[in-house]
Amino acid sequence: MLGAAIVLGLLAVLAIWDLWGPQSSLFAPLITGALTGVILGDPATGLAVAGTLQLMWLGLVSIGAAMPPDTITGAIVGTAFAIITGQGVSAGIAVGLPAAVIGQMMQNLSMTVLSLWMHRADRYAEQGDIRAVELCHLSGMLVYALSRFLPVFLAVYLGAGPVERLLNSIPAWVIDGLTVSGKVVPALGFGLLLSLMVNKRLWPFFAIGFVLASIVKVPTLLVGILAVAIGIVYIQLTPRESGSQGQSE
Amino acid sequence: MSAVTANRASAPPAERKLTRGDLLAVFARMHLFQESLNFERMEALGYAFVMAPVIRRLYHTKEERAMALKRHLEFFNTQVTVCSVVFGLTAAMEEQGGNEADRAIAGMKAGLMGPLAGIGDSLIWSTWQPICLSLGAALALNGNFLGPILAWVLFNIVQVSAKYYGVMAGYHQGIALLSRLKGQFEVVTTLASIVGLMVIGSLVPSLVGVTTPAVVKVGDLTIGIQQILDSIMPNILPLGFTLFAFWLIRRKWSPLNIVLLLIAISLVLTAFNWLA
Repeated sequence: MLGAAIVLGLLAVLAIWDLWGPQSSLFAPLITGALTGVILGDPATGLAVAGTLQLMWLGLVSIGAAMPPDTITGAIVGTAFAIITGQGVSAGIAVGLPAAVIGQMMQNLSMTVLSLWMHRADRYAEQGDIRAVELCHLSGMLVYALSRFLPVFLAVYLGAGPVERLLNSIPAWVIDGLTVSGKVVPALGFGLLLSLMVNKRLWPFFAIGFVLASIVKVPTLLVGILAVAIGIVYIQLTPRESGSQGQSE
Repeated sequence: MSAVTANRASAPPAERKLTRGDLLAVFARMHLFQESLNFERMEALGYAFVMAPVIRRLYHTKEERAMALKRHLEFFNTQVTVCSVVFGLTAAMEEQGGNEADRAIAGMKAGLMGPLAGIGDSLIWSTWQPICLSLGAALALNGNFLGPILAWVLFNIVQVSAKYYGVMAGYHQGIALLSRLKGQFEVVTTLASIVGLMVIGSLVPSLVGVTTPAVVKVGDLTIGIQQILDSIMPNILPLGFTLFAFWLIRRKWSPLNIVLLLIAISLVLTAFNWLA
């Protein structure tokens, strides 16, 4: 388990560097979870847990300055325990959320620690020392690396036994309920998307998509193409309100 | 290196010009922008890090560099993808105005970070990324490994090219670009919303896949509730839960509390065998 714990810890480091760096979405539960499955030699379970956690946590993205539960720690630890304990998706959900909350604490701790860095950077700036300011910034990567390596490594290395015993003691109705919650909670992600995109004029498009898929069963990719087409027509037919081209439109 | 720097220091100001390489360096460094994100000044140190190639090129004395570095160490926070435009603009203003434009640059940054954060968050984090990830998750739940790969590739085609175009356009077209985009943003946002809404609508039935195993007994007759629901409208439960979550969000519930409430509801209703 030591080797797996180290490799998964390093995966968490890559993911957090991605989140605060290229933002390629390597940090998303769908991808960290799937890679965890590959690392632990059970890609099928990895995919199932990754897909479920991704949909449950679609709403937990960082918008503005507030930090949400850390889905990196949550997805890697959750998927790892789903595979290690052999209990699949429900174990992933049961372990994933508390792990994500621990990751959130680590994020807040890192951002507090890194506030101290600013004062060193101020001093280097005063001296016009560009190189030192750059290094000051890059050394933040060490803080963030530790912030995710430690919880993931410790959880996987130390936790397997106790967590397995804990999971085994969970009654069946809780396990069933958690599995069902994997189907219910994605509603939140969709609800959040709705609340951000919808206004009175755009509600019909949600209805069209829903009806297409639930009755006619059109594949999603085709819905996307149809949506672009309808959207373009909609925009062309909509008169601009006090448009940038004056009253002529 | 130091000899070159010394020569440049006495060079006439007409030579103050950024190269394409400098702008590419800004674009490249954007990929490590938030690695020192902190509560005190959020992205400020990262901003100085990204602008370092520009500062190196344009300023040569210790005092000049100190002044340039300090203005970028002021509080800054916005969404990263759209921040590419601000980086491009900053580079243009540093080149044209130099340290005399100190307050103008600081003001431009402070003025843009709020509105741009809203645009970037809603286009990238609330529309494009969840669409890519939901599509990928749908494939993953079918056991298809293309799911995560497709999600990653789709997301980055847009994300990376937006950053590149943002830096270049921000630098070359500066202020003109922003006033021109003001009209375009609305069109882009509307189109993105329409596509997003239709795709979400179509994903609700398969991804919020709850059904009810509950039955009612009328005499000897046993009727499944799901059957009744289906005859009213298929997928009424997934739609109901989605609209319920939407309603809670409108009532200012935090996402974490909604997650916890939905898990609690699932546990209770499953225990009574009303949900599956």
